[in-house]
Amino acid sequence: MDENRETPALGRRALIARIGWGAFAASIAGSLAAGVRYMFPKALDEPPSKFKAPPPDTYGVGSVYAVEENKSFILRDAGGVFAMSAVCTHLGCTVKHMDAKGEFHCPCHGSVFDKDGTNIAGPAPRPLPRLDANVARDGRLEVDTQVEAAKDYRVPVDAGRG
Amino acid sequence: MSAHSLMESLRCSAIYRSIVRRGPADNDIDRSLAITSNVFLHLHPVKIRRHALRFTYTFGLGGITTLLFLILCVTGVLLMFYYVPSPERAYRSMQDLRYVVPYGTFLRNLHHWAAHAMIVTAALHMARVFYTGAFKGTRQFNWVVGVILFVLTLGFSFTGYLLPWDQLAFWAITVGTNMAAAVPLLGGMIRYALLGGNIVGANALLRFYVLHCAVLPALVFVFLAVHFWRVRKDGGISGPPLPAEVPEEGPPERLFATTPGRSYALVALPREAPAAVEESRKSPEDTVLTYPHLLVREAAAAMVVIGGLLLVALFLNAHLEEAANALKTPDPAKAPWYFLGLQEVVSWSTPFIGGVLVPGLMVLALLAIPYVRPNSVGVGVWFHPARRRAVIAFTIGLVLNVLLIVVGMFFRGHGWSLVWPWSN
Repeated sequence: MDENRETPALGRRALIARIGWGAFAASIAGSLAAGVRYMFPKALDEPPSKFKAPPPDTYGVGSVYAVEENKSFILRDAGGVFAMSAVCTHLGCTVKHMDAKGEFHCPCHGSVFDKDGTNIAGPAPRPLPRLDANVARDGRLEVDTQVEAAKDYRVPVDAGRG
Repeated sequence: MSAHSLMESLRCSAIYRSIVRRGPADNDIDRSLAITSNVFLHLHPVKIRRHALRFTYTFGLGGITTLLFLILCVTGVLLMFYYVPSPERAYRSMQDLRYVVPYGTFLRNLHHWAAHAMIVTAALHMARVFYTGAFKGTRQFNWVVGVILFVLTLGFSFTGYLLPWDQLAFWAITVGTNMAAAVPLLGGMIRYALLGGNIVGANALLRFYVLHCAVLPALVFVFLAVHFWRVRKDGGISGPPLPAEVPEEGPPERLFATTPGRSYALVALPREAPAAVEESRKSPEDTVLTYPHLLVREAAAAMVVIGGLLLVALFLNAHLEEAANALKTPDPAKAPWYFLGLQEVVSWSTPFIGGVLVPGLMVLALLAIPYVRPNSVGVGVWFHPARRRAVIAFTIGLVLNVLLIVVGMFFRGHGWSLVWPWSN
């Protein structure tokens, strides 16, 4: 090494070296980012979020109809028909309908919801969500488990009837 | 030709000597070479403090945990020959192991019980290191490595738990991944990445399988290597401070500079030294040769552990519940026992507190232990009186964990309600 020679602030070699290191770091960072993104698939082979249930007027007042495969309940009260998620708002177990009390109990951590889905005991932080429901063209009830409806949302029983 | 002389001539054969490259280990040089010239044994030092050999000091817990990990690797690889990680075939693989594959039940049992035992021995090992102050001084960082290894062990349990694809597996993972989703900001992403989607389905099963069989083993091997390396580099197994070093006789025999607390005086021993030499030439550290003193103890511990494990695996079958059913949550749905303490906390609180905050703080507290009040008080002594407050604090944490687990195991019934164990 020639110690006497003064190196300029950014000589040719240093510049090329810096570009080289920068390119290398950028390529590694890009690959890592690609690796992270790789873990988040864009298309999923999962059941559709919408399902169809019998028409609104087929449910008796006060009845609870469980749609197991879609983890939902369809309930009817004086105001109409509504769909409610059966997925506990605590940690995602499926709640059970207790016929005697009309309550919904979660077997995992003991949360209790009343007949409207309001959390009344246990660790559940929120009520069971109402699900978006409409009467489809064929007269049946169409529920979307991914879309939450307002708390007092109901489908009038005569909806869909001419 | 007697068996003995046959062995002798075998040992003198050119082939044997090409493999072992040392004489019969009847002198200290060959005994030390037995350790240093063997790639596996040179994990050990040539000499070890007599104090470190006392069974009641370590109870062999670190070594037993390692042995269980190796057993898990062997049995795990064997299980992989039959197991198919898809929702259609996973549970059927388990049934095949149970009913069709020769000794399939036995191998699965071995894997299952070794996994449970490993959690216990790793936790006990951690408690031992705490109670003997073995995380202090030069060993601070190795405690951190140990905590990482413990977390990885729990990761093994969590990922392995899903693989049988039975009801227990499915719902434990549903709950577990929803707990991960309670992480602020990133929670949803973490859950999505863990499951490879929104539900516990085919992607999730495959991901857990890859984590369990490739990612976690690789990580554990790396951290295990660091853990062992640091045991050696941090001065060997911990022990009480050495008595002030007194030169024995004449000029020092040391050929190399010594590092604190260790001595390489051994290389000065003449080949002809009789076996008794090691006893008479007591260094201030009071060391003995690893071969045979440590090795026979390790062999004995390994035999007891393997024997016990075989007995358990022969007579106690690993559980297998009904096939996973996303539509029906079992009642009660319990996590594996080592997570029941967390499930208990989760059942009183929000997923964030019970699933993220409490376990996160527990790991952080463990990591912080060597750095809170760095000192060297009570190293190498169980429950040293000067460490009374630290010992009490750790014991409270330990007892609390065990209590919560016991409550979760025996006192929780339908709908996670409190029940007496005998009322079911």
